[in-house]
Amino acid sequence: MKQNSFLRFWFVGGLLSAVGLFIFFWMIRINLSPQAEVFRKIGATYETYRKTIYPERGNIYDRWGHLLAGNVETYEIGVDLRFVSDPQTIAATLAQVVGLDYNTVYDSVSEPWDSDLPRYVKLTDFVDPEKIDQLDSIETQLNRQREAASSRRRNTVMPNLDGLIWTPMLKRSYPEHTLGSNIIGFYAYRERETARGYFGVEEKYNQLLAGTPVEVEVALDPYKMNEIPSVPPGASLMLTIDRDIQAMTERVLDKHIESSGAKSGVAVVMDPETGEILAMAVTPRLDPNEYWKYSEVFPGITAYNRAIGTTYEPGSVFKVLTMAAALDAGVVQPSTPFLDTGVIMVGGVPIRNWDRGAWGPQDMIGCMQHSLNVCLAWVATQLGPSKFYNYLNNFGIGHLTGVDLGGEASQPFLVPGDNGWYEVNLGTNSFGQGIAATPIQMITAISAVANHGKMMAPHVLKAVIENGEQYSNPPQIIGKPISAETAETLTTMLATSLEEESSAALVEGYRVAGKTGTAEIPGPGGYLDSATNASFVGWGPVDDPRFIVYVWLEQPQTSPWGSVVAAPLFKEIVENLVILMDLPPDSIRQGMAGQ
Amino acid sequence: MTIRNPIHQAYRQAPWRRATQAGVLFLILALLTASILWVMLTVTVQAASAGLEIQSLENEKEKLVREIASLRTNIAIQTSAEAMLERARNLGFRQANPDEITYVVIPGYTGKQPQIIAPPPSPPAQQVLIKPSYTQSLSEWLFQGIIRMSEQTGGFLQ
Repeated sequence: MKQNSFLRFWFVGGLLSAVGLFIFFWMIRINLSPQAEVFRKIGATYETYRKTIYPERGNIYDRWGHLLAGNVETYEIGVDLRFVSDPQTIAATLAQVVGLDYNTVYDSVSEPWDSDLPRYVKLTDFVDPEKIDQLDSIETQLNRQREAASSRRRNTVMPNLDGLIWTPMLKRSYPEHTLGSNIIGFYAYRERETARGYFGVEEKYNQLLAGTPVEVEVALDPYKMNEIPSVPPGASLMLTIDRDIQAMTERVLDKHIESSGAKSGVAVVMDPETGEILAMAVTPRLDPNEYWKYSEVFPGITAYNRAIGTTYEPGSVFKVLTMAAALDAGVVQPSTPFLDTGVIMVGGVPIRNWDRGAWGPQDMIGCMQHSLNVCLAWVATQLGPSKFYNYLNNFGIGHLTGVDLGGEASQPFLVPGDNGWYEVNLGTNSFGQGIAATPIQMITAISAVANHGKMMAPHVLKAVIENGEQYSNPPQIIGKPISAETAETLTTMLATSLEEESSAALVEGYRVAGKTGTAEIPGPGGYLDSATNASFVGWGPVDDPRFIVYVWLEQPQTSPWGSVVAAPLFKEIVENLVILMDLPPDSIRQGMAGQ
Repeated sequence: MTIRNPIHQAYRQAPWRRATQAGVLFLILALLTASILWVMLTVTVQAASAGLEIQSLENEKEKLVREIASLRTNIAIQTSAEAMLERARNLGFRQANPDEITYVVIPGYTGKQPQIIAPPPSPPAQQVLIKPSYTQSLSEWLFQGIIRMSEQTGGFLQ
């Protein structure tokens, strides 16, 4: 009996050992077999998964910290095909809540899953959280119904959303909608892999805002779990734009476009001392939250931001540059006399005044006050083409200003020796015809007159916030085309000329200098009849300029003249601007300074 | 009848003793194995639990980042220029006319200051100078000392 038991124990022990050895042998055999690598690869797919972490796109703020571009939570909806048991309910629910097409969803989710196929299928993305809340409550309700029914009806598939997954993600959002959209640009987020910024700062600083996406291996085995590397968000930008000044400028510009019947308009407000752009209003404007409507808002070749992307013949505002050049070169003085006979021949072509009249004896202040083409053409001939175009070059006309916004345009001007340049060009160019510039080129060039001869780089970036630290973007001088004396002399001349003509641009309590411009518009067969571009450039307070404003109304209908339609626009902007800038009237400010 | 060697018999353990010893040995081994397995299991469970917690915290962090971004943007929507203007109008405010504004001199007030969202970059941290004797190992100290002596005396090889 004892002997038998002993044998049985040995037999069972031997059998188990043999099984163990057999398993051990097979383990070694599998590990050494040619398929071992394949098994290891299959195993590795269950150990970890690769995940690309897209850093949060940096925010964009105005100069006072108001958010102009941020991010909001949104969701991607997809299905894990392994768990789908009721494609009809999924398709019907998504059609009802999210608005997807029933058949498209049904076709996608009713596909039986095969191990060769991807188990996850994306159905839609950028779904608002409110819709996800609805889906969540429907799923909860269906689960409750299924639990209640499970005890009664077995082997029956109750309606369910099994396999439906929603994954959170961030979407670009612009809280101010159209406000300053020409400066901000937009981020085309819909194609996540190729998403990037277009126009404005979104394009110019795309790399900085986007940060660097990081691809990480995430372990599914909790024992191998490591901390996912921290991916810093993209840098945030603080702009020089003042949201309230921008809103006011857009409001006033829109009002004057409507009242003048103009096709479009531009108004730029800049600090001449630093080159900081405080506001840049244009029409049309796009709501960057709906950037896919781009072609509706900008039909044809319409520039996204006319202030930097559209060149035009500016007309008499250009006389500021001609006079600055002549004064700086010592060719004329404010008191230099000129007898206006109403016509001057330049290169054998007669040049006449805007009213075709003769204004008799004038000095240079009178020439600017009455905006006499004949006088300025004479001034340019006295200066000579070489010096004249050299000054224009120094003022940056014909070159990109380098403003930190995507989409800047420039049109080089013709100089003697170029094909198409004739002697008469010198005469017409002197009063801003036959030469094209963008509003940003004009305001940058003329800002030298308002800033003691120094031309500052126009810019919208005030600071970069990266890794929790704020880096300032200091102002830069890009040229000194004229002397400080010339700048002050011309500023005084232009202030006096505005006062003497009782210009509609004058602002009560503040002494401003400025110049109107009315330009004919070139067409296919010469200049268009009864269509003009009306402009005005002005700055103040004259003794300590804090702002320079450039306005342009395209083809106003109520009056073709800059003095009638553009000057009041300038005035209204400045009247509001001084309040928003806390700039007291000259008398009070000078009194304060004396205390 | 077999006569057993009495001396040989005296050194043999009684069968129940041998069985008891084997049992005790087995129990000790079993307890040791169980203890080792228990320690291993506990450590593994703790590591797995920590891993899951890390995963959960990572998810929580991502969720908070998204929530903060959303809240920041929602606040901006609520306080946008258009919304604030509308609210001001509804509260009966209007923009002041220039002649209604009184400017007052406030000593020390320098006007609205630029917004600081984050502090400026901090200057590079100054390197803390620690005497080498605090960081050197004994062998390094000896080696350095020998080299120094060698330099002072003109070298051992001369």
